[in-house]
Amino acid sequence: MAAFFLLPALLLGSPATPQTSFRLHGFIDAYWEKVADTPAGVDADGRTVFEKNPHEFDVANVHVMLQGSVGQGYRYYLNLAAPGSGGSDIDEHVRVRNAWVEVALAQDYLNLRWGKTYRRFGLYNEILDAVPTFIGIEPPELFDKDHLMLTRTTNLMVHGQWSAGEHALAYALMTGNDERAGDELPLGVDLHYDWGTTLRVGSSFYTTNGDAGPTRAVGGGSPHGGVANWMASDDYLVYGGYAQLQLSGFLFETEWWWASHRARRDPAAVLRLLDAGLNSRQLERFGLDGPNPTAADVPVAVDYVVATRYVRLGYAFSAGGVEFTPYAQGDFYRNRETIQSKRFGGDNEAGLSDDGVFGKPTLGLVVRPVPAVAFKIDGSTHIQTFNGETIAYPEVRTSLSYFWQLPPVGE
Amino acid sequence: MKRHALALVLLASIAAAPSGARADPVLIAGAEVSTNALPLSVVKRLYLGQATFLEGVDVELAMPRDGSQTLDAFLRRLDLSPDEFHRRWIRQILSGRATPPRQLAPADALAYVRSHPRALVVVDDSLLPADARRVSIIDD
Repeated sequence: MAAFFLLPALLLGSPATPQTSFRLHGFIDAYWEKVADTPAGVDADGRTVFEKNPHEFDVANVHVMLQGSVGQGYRYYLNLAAPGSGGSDIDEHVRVRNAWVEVALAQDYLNLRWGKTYRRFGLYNEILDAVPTFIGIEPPELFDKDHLMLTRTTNLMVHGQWSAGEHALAYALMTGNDERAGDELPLGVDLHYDWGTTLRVGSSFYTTNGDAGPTRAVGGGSPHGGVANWMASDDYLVYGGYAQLQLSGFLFETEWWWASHRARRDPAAVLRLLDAGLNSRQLERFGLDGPNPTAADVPVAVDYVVATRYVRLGYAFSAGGVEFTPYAQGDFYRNRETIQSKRFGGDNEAGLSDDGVFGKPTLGLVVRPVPAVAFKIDGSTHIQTFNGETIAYPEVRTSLSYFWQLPPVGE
Repeated sequence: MKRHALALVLLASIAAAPSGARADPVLIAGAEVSTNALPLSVVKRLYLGQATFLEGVDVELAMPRDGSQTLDAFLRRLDLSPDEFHRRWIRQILSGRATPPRQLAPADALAYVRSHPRALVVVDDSLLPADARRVSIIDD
């Protein structure tokens, strides 16, 4: 709150002719994916039926970013994106991913950022647009767009850090519109410790601090946050921790997260899930397993926990002036409330399985001829229980991303 | 003729060798940057965009252009390879966290410091004029 009172004083005290500069940069991420036959249903004999999946080209990410400063301690950032722009049938809209202004209220100790900003949460949320720089092609399940645990962006962030030698402690407090249902004040917190560039250990926390509502209706696609499309309201927390170790080319990353939901379903919305191809466990969970289910059959109050964790390992080495980083990663995700159909708000991963659980081991390689170019190839296997049996189906994907920037403009 | 050509190559090599060995990066500062010495860890945090302020001043960083021996020597001092340095900066840039150091030709470094009172610039020691204010880098 002090920031609001300090801000006008700082603005009034700014120099009449501040030095300004800005930079324009971005990247293009071309993508190809092939998923093997996936389980689609059960035939009359009780056997699992598989369906074929076509290989898919896409431009997974296109970003144009403008970053600048005005005088001492005033910064701004604009990040325009058009994810999934590779289709020839429809041209995607350009979306505003970030648009914020920031003022340093007390050097590096206290900064106020205002607008639309990625929230600081775990290792990846703020850097998911930096595709050329990290191992792996797909984001951690925490921020997989088909089953987000919370919104990726928020509106106000107070952040800062203290450092002494190689040691630094950084914090961030965040709030915004998020998924709030009324005048709730959602709150996000991140705290992490850095030891030089070698070690980062931290924890993040988020609370809706009251009721949140769905960002999309049933039939409108995957939600933009942690509230399922068929909820009337949801009061939830997300908490967990993360660690990253980088030493002599070796990289180790791990994150563990839980989202604890206390929700109330909207019976009318749940009834629409009858057209979503629910499995027997989901029909029972939603009270739709009777011969002619009605709104009165739907259990309204529901408490459940979504959990995810991953481990990533990589080793970077150079040969002939080219950097190679083979990597391995393992993801786990559990959400018993979700469903298969993405159109109805599901994820086609946890929602596909009998029990809302899947694992995904991945092996891959990043090749960087220069730091601004990354070619990635990796293969994953989804492992889950379907029709009472353990089923694994593989997928392979490649990505070629170029980072570009124009020379700085300004004084 | 061959002997003369060989002698020329040798002379050129000898002339080039001291230039490579001479690359000795130092920091010079603008008028508002009051410090005369900085711990290596602080320099590293500034040049990786992990910190932006130095004793109350939002410093404007500059350094030699890519491929220069002075820059390579400076990054070695920070225990970073040029590729790792650039990769870390791409990550910082793409997340909006910080603005990378401006890259300057040696001839422009002094003019930059004089026109930017908050500047902190990496230059080669051999190019340092007597009136430039040097900032020593101290090992932690």
